[in-house]
Parts: sequence; structure tokens; C-alpha cells
Amino acid sequence: MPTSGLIITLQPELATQAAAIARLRTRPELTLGELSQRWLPAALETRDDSDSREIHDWLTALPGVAFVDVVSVSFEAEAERSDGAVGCWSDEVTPVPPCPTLHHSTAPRLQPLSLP
Amino acid sequence: MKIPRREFLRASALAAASAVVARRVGAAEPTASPADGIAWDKAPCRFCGTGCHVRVGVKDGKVVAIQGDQLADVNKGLLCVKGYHVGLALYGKDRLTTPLLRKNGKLEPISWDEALNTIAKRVMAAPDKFAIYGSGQWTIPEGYAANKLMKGGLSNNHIDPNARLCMASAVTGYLSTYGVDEPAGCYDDLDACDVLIMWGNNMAEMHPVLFSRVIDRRTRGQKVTLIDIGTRRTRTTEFADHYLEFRPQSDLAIMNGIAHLLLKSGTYDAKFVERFCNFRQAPKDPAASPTAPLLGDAMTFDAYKAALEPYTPEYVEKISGVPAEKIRLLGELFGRRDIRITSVWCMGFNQHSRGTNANRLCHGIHLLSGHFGKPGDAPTSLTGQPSACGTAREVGTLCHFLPGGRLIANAEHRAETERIWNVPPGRINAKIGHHTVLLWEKFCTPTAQGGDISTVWVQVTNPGQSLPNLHKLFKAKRGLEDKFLIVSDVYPTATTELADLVLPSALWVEKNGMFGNSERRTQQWFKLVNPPGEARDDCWQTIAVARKLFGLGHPGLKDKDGKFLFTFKNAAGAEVPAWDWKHYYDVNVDKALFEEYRLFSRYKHKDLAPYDEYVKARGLRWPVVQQASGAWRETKFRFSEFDDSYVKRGAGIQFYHSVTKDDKALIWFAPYEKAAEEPDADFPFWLCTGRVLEHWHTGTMTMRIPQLAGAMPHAYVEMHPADAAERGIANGETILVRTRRGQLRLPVWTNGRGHVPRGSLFIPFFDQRLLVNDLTLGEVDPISKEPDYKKCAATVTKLGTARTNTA
Repeated sequence: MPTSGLIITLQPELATQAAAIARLRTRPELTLGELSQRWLPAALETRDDSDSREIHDWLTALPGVAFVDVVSVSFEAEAERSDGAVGCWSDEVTPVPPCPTLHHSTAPRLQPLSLP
Repeated sequence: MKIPRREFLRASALAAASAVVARRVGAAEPTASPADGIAWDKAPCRFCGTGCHVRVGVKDGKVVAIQGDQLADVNKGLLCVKGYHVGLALYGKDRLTTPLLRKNGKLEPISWDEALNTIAKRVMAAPDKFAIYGSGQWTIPEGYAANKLMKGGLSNNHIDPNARLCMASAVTGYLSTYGVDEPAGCYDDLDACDVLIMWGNNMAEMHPVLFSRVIDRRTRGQKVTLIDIGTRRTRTTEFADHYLEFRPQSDLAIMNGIAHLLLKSGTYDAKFVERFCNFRQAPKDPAASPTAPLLGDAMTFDAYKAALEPYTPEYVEKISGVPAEKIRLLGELFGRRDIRITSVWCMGFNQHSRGTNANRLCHGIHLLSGHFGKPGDAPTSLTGQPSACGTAREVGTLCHFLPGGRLIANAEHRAETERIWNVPPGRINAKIGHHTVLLWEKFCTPTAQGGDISTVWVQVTNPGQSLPNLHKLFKAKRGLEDKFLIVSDVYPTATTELADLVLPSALWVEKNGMFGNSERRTQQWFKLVNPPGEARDDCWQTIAVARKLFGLGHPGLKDKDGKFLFTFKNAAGAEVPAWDWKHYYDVNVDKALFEEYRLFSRYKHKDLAPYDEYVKARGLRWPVVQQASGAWRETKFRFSEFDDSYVKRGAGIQFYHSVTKDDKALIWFAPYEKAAEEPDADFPFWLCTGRVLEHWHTGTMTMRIPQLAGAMPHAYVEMHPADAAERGIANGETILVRTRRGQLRLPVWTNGRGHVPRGSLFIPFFDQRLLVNDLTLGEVDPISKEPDYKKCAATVTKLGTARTNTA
């Protein structure tokens, strides 16, 4: 279960901030810390990477949220896997993680690639 | 009371985020979260040259968590998407764990002893035909040991790092302007500038933490104007106040246009120029001496002014495509004394067939306008590798360098180096070695046809993917029976595919290490976990091979007193056989090598502190000068009296390593010149290569991290939608991209993350399966010998039945 530490930067208007925080509190995956100026620390727990991506997209689109920075990530489960393996070169498509800086469409993947 | 695991992880994540926020607002930091069996230590990130520090969480012998280090000035607790997954780079399921020797065409496991003997015998058979190809990812001690083995042991200067491919033009730019390498300023300039100009530099994706540092100023209500000068729209452009899109190669004309305007309008800083600058142009006879291209020929201010006369805004617009009013905007900004301007660049200037000149001209407009030497006023190159500065440039692992800024070609420098290494006079060969492109060309050329390199040992890099024009410079090794390729690495790569011997290496916190980042910051970390299987430190591998050569009687492996060149003693003064893996960590080899290396650091005022000072710090920026109190003080702003203790009192600014020996810097004139290969009727597109946010360099580490590989699973070609539509190509369709050197099938991405202008293509180089360097040109800058990866001519074909990627 991925667990990340986030800093959510809110828009400067107080009313917008309050509304955003109220919406953030509705998501059980998020544990919110104490707001300082415009910065709200949070912990995010998700089922898997796909779930992380979904909530991250939701966060960045939420009115009142200016930016989302990730400051920590725990990958204990992956690192402790019995064979210690977390992936290698492959055509296998894996889900997209919470990635605060990806404000774009994902790369096209319409045809399988053949290895040279 | 035992805390449930999930609750602990949640509390840790919240504590990390709260600590970063507390530092931002200047409040007391929250109490640390409960330890729960995780031991935390510091390390610089393994990836780029920014030099972020991470907190590494280790449990049961494995790295299980990563946090941004709140105590680190560089990143202030933040990390980029690569940084917070860096721990997973250790745990790809195909880690190399045993030495492998190619037998009958197949790599077969062998013992370390057999591997070391194999290398030693190859070297003994032809020591002058042996080369080491290293890296800006070598730790400082690793690079130092390899440099000492080659230059001080084997009298062989055929050692060069992959930094030749990324930073060599920055080096020649600094050397020929200030007489000494590396930036005068530092990242603090990003916090103080009013205008940040990014020259061909997609900082938002390539140095995201530094870019966040600037964007964060905006969220605090500060005004900072961002100017993106590039050849394609990127994520950086989304944040820029001004975007100036120029025709490839014409950045030279743009900078000349700025200088022209400063002179025409009289807004250049006449006092600064008079006190601190001389003028230079290319030498009439560049072959007169090895240093002639760096020294140039003197020119008067009037001659400089006359040379710039043609570069009117309209003329520059004609060359570059940048509207004249935008050139005037730049000229006006540089002409203002009430603002501070920082320029940053990376591969856009450096991987350029006139890369040295591009660097010189950027320094020149800062000097001419006096935008230099105050916080926020600085021209600063950024590096792509974690120790391109620390190891390649400062340790001097390039084929023409000795440690600490000394030159092979200088007899006094050789003598001083021989003294510190305690080797006989004349041990260091006076002839410079082969630079990277020449080294690989010689290795891939049959011996009978002048291919004078027969054995190459590659450490910590992947030339089979990162060299330009791979068919010529790497793949041509195939079938050359007398050539032997040794590769030390952590994973199978495009390079190991052609290797004759593969050595499994320890990675990052599996070993002790030191890096030097873009802002002159030297960083240290300790080994935190064991490497897998029989993987071992690169530094040990070098010392172990040296010992084999000593045993075989190579005279170069003895110093003047007959002792082994790599002799280490423990605290009690007893010699430790560090060449024997069982004893390697009986002594801190890194510390011993660093303490020897730092003896070299004073000559160019790159003073390093004792090793133990770096253990306590999150890096220190050189020169690190000992104070009367005994404390060690780092230097943020070199050459400026207010911060640099080597500047004479009252001088204000002093370029104390001046090329002209008069404490002045050089402002160069260099003309706009066409690219080595430009689009034509047969190959009508510009082809540019580069990186993406999720992957670091050739992807050997990041493509093994599922979160990163999933976010960006393979390479692609960016194409303008109108160019695609004209050819009946749909977004996502696989096409054939072809240059005079090779061809590649890959999917088209229109209106994706980057937006190329019409007539341009962009392909990232991270994908081992889609090698864009099969296509690149490899034309080098004549001074730095760095190849141009950003410009060559290409064509595209809508695919019919062609299915293979071949030349």
C-alpha cells in the first residue's frame, strides 16, 4: 500500500482555502496536518499506484489547490518482496504513480514495440 | 506501546510533510515520528547534478523509504519524482551479481579472481593500448583511484569520463573566460534574481527541484520574470513570462544581438568592463599550442564593437526567427542596473558544435552588462550527473587533466602531481590521451588500420546507449576479435551486450561515496546496505586490478619507495590489504583517498575541507576555507569580496585565476556559424535529443522502477501536428525516422508534453530498445571535443512494411 507525504499549496484566498480543505477532508485516503500560511501537509495512503494516480489527478484539479508536492514515499512492501525484485526492462505496462509534475496527456501506446 | 504498521507509515509521511512546511514558514519543526525499526541516514540523490539530499530509511538490511532531507539547503525537504523513488533503483530483479566472461559468444559466470587476472593480463600485454572510460557518476574516490592508476601508475592518459559528452564545453567556457572552471555563483542566485533566463534548458523537467525553488518564490508573492529561450515548448515554457523560440544553432546570434544592443545604447557597464574585463577572439593559429584555443588573440574594445556591428535585432531575427522586439527586450533587461539576472543552461549550450563559444558568449553578456558577482546576478551552468563537477572536472579524470585543475601538458603540473603521488619524475606521460569520441573511434577501428586502443574498461556509464553515432563509435566493435570490452555495472545494459567481461558493481548506498554537484558542493555518504551477491565497489575493483598488476611486476604500480601505489593504513598505523575484498572495509578507503586528493585542491583555490567535515554537513561549497577559530567556511559567491576570502580587500571583484594574469576576465567575440548538419531536401527535419522528467539518462536505473517506467514506458518522437497531418500520420502511429547514420521505428506524439515547431523532431534517449543515438551525428566542438546531440538532419516515413531498426 503506497504511503506518501504531500505538501498541498492552496490558493491565497481564504474562502477558497476553506472550501478546498472541506473537500479534502472528505477523502479517507488523506490525513491532513496543520495549515501554515498556504501550505497544508498531508499523508496519502492508497491501494495501489493506479489509485494514487486517480487521487492525485483529483487533487490537482480541485478548486483552491495551486500545487501538490510529494516529499516522501514509503515503498517498504516492494523492497521487502521475497525476491527483492521491483521490475526490469519489459514491454509490460504498469500503472502511473502519483506524479505531481505530469500535467499532460500520457504518451501514446497504440502499437506493441518489438525489441531489437 | 506498539504502533500499527499502517498508522506508523501514515504518521511518518505526515511528519515529513509537516517538517518541510515548518521550515518554509520558519517555525519550529515538529517532533520526529517514532522510529519503528527504521534507521535513517543521509545521502545525496543518485541521479542528476542538482545534488538534493535524501533521508534513506533502512530496515532489515534494505532501503524501505525515502524522504527529502529538510536539513539540505539544496532541496529543503523536496524531491522530484525520480528522487523519491531512488531507493528502488537498488532492487531491479536483473541485478548483476557475479562476474561474467564471454566464452563462445555467451557470458558465463566466473570468479572474481579470474576476472581480475583477465584484466591484468590484458593490460600487461599492451599497457599503452588500454583505456578507462568513466563517468560523472563515479564517486570522487572512485574517479581519483582510476586517474591515479592510469596517469600515475601506467603512464597512460587514455582515461576520459562521459562528462565529455555533457559538460566539456562548460569547462572550456569557464576556463577561457575566468581561467578556472565551474560557476562563480550558486543556487542562492535563484532565490535572489529578478529575471531568470533559461537558455535551451528545460529546467522544470531536468532540474525540477531547482525550478520549484523559483516557482515557490511566486507563491510567496515575489516577482520573478522567467524567460525560456529554446527550440521547443516544454513544461518550463508553461511557467515562463516570455518564450523565445529560436532556430537551432542561432543562440550564438541572439547573444551577439544582446551585446550589440548594450554597446549601441551605451547601457553596458563601462566601469565594470574597464576594471574587470579584457577582450578576446579566436586565435589566428589554433594549433600554435595546446592552450592556444583557450587563450585566443587579444582584441581591442573598438574591434569587439566593430565585430558586433552586424548583429542588429533585425539581422538576428533573420538568423534566429526570434522577433526583433524580443531581442530588444533582452537587450533592455541586460542594460538595466536595477534588476538582477541569472542565466542557467545545461545541454542546450554544451551539446553544441560551437558549445565553447555559446558558453563564452553567455558569460560575455553578463560581464559586459555588469550582471555578475552579486547574489542573483550570475551565469551558471547546471550539470546532468551527480558528480560531473566533483569527479570529472575537479578530480581531473579527463584525458588532458590532472587533479585540482592541473594540465597534462604543463611540466610543472606533472612534476607537482608526481610529488604528491610519490612517483618518480617523468612517470606521468606528457602526451594527452584520447578524448571520448576519439577513444571509441580508435577502439572500433581495426588495429591494422590505426585503431590503437585494444582494451577499454567502462565504469559507471553506458556508452552503448549514450555515445553519438553508435554504429560508428560503438557497434563497429562487433567482429573485431582483438578488441576487449570490460564493463562494470549494476544491470545488463546496451554496453554489456557487447562486453567481453562484465563486473557486478555496488550501487549508491551499497558503498561509501562522495559527489560534487553543480554549485561546487562536495557531499559525502556512508554505505548503508550490502550489495547483492558478489557485486563489489568500483573503487575496490580498480585497486584490486592495480594489485594484480603490482603482483605481475608492472613497475608503475610501485611508488618511489617501492610501495604499492594504493597503500592504506588503519588508525594504528598498520597496513590494510584493501585489495582483498575481505579487508576492503577494514579501513575507510574513501577517506584515505579523499585526504590525499584534497592536497591537490589549493592550487586553483578549490580548497576542500577534511573528510570528517563532510560527514557532518549536507555538503560544502568550495573553496572551503579554515577560519581563525578553526571552523571551516564554505564560499557561495566566488570572486566577490563580500564572500570570497581569496579576493583582495578593496578589489570588489577579483578574477584571481585570470587568463591574462591581471585579475580580469575575458569577454569573447564569436560569430554565428551554421550547424554541422542542417536540414535539406533529403532530410528536411531538425532532430533534437534529450531527457524526460521520469527517466534519468539511459534509463538503466529508472526503467527498473515500475512507477517511473509505467509513467513513461518507452521513447517516442515528438512531431508538429501539421507536419504529421501533411504526411497522413496520426498521433500514436509508428513511423520511421531516418538520418544519414541510421533509422528507428517509434510512435509519434503530437501535442504531447513537449511541442516542437514545424520542421523539428525530438526523441528522448532513455529507452534501450529505441536507441536514438543510432541516428545522431557526433560532430564535436573543436575546442571542448563535446559532441552535438541537439542538431542533425532527419526525415520521416509513414511506415509500410519496414519492421526493423537497422542502419
